[in-house]
Amino acid sequence: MSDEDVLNRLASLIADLLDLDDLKLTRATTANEVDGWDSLAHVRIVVAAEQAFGVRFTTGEIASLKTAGDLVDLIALHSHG
Amino acid sequence: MSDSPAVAGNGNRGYPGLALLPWLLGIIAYWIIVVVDPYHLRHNGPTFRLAEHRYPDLEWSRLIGITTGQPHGLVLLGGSTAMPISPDIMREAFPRARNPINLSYIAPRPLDMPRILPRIAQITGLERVILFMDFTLIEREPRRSASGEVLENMASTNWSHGGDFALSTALASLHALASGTYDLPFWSDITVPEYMLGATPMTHSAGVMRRFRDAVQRHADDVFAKSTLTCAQIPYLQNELVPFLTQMANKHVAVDLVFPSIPFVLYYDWIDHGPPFNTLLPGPVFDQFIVFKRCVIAARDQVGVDSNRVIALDTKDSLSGDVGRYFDSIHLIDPEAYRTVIRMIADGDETITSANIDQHEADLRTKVARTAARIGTR
Repeated sequence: MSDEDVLNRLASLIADLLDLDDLKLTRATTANEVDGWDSLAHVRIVVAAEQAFGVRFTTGEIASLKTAGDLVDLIALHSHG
Repeated sequence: MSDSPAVAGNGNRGYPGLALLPWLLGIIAYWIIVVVDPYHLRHNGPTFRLAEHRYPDLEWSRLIGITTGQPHGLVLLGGSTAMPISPDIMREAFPRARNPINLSYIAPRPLDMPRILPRIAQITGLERVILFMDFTLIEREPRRSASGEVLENMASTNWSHGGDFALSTALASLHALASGTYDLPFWSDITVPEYMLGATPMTHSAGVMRRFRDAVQRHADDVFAKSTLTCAQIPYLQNELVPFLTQMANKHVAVDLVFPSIPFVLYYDWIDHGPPFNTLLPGPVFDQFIVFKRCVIAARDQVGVDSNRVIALDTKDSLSGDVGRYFDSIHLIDPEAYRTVIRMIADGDETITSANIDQHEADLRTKVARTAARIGTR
């Protein structure tokens, strides 16, 4: 799966979880820029992403996430690993 | 032969003096401590100042004697949920309070209280006491906290408790002799309680987030189940709290009994992953916290002083509903959150009474369930 595929699938997942019809997710998007992406939503998104992509993140990895692109890279890293 | 007794004896001629050196230094250090009396064992008044900065956690417990020997208008006593509240932010929230002080330490137990509450009661100039109602006070077993053991040791053994005198005690005492302040240079670097060192928000841990999601899914149906906890099972209330409230009422000192801000998700998480201190009954957690609140309100009403308040800080969405502001399932990590907490106490926000406790419980249930729905369902 390409990084773009991961980003698109992640965008669809987040839009579904946060009930957003018009989510424009780019690699540079941060949580603060997405309506409803607060700490509770973050819990839901991270756990749902793990399930959807069949990966498991570690504590250090999550702590360093800044943008959607970072999350895409992390998913790709685990998917290829 | 070089290893004959005679030759060996000549070669070791200087050693006896060297062997005595540690003893000599120990005696000097001991007498420095005796002169300064940092732990207030002579009970005849402080002779030195304390620094403005935070002390190591256990050292702070040892200094409770000296701090309560000085005048304070406002005193805070709680557990780890209150420890990060600095005198500065107490001063911001209570600008007229004279020399506010936070005596909080980790996991206070009911059995500690006979060594602490009487000391607070005799503080000169006392106008208000804030007591945090941490869950560790539900304790039924006759156990003390680590700090409680320190206080008990000091109260019962006087100058012979060598275990509490460390090299740091002697050096800080020496500093007190030289400068008038009991301090060590590296203590001024301490900015947070030791249990917070290296802490990161819960939203930085994938494992914790998975655990929360699993907990809210697993306990959606039993989170609000009834517990068997009753007021009679909380000896702290009648043995310690009511006598203290009565004593404070006689001195016209107001007392705030404060339930700390805890995340809504705790009520799910602790059913399976309870606190490290075995103070709660197994099973539903939410109901035990509610029962504790009702019992504290009853204790407050038993003394019946209008200026005493019971305040619950655990329904505010911006605190309890934001898991990113906690570093574990009970402790806030955000310094600004502690400022909010003490402001809410000053303002009397969220005061709970026998008249509104049912509504408080209903509101809290709604918020807890709403949080679970946001974390754990599709």
